[in-house]
Amino acid sequence: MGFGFMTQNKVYAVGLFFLCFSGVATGQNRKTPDTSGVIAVSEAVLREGSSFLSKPLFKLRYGTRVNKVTNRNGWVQIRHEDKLGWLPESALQDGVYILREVGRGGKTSTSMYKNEVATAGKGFSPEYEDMMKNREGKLNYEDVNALEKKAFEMSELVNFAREVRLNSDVFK
Amino acid sequence: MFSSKSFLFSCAVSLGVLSAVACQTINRSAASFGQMTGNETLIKATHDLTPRQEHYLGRSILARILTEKQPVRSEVLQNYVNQLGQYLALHSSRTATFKGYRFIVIDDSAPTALSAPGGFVAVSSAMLRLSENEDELASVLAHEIAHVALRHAEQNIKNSNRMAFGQQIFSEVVQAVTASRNLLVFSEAISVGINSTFNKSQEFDADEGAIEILKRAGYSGRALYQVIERIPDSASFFGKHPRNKERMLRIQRLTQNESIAPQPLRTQRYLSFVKKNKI
Repeated sequence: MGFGFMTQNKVYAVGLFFLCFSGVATGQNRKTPDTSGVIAVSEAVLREGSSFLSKPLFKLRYGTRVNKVTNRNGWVQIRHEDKLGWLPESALQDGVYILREVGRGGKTSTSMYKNEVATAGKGFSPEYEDMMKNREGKLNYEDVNALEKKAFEMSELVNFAREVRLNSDVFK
Repeated sequence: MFSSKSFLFSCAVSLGVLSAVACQTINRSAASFGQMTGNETLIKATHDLTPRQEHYLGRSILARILTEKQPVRSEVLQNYVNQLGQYLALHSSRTATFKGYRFIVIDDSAPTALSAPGGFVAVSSAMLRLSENEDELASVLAHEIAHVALRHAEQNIKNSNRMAFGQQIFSEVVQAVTASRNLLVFSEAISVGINSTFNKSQEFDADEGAIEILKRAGYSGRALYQVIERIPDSASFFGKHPRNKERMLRIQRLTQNESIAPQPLRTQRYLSFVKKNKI
């Protein structure tokens, strides 16, 4: 009844084919998020090797999608377009991310994640900080800005450690 | 009625079709995902703050603190504490934040230290006076770095009962809200970020994280024990929970094989920056 025109063996063979197909498809979908990541820092410096002292090669901006190649000692090697580089694991985030505008004339997303996309940038951003300043005018953002501008070269930190004989693996 | 064979076949066909449809849906979304370029930000599919949001929340928390407590106006001292903090952060489980870690000494008579999301750490002048050597100051900063690395402040904000913050910001299905309402949420988050104290479990985890950082960076983990010993329970920079004795016992167990004697070169450097700047 129903599929009486097929022999028993054919029924099993076709069924097995679809079962295998579904398994492969599911496996592919699971694998994709594991090999891709998104830059999670304002500006990531990609280096030649897995060390803070390794030669800087190029920079990537926050939100750039990359493919992970391999991991080593808290560092991850990524591929972006045709370039390879290393960055600390914490500068990269895994999984499914929603990328979209921050409210300065950005376009509307058409992705399946549009509800989440709508929230991006609405919480904490320069725009809301400006509103906070207007509302609570005396908040001391000047000293925060001055602090943020302080940048330290890695060579300074190496000297800082070496002058008191601190031996650290991160500088090897 | 379906025979058992045809039922089996139908199930197999359905599974195959379903997986094919699911695959197409995911591919479609991946295609539109890939097209997004330009002025972008991130939001995770789970309910976390994005790194960028963390940063701006941290900025506002620090701005409010610096409105009440002025930074110590000594460039030399601020640079020293910043270098020490930056060096320690390289040894944490989270070496990178949105715009990097930042450390500041604030003028305050209470021995305090605190951290804000995104990697902002403030330590009081009284805490510098209370610390006797570089290892002790390093242990205070390492403890705060561990809070940042473990995202404790964000957890507290998310768990806060004081606002509908969880529904407003972390919800996956957020309705459009007005700017003024968002501003209120923003303001509330800052308030929670400043006022919430870390719980017992978070403190223990931060102590453990600090000891790891100190060991990797070449400092003594025992310094954390020594500095806590000197802080009165009531004025603890780690908040009200747990009691100092309880923490000291745990730290003692984690650092029992370590030397207690401070390294003279580091102590000398510390004294030259802290004591000579009349902190």
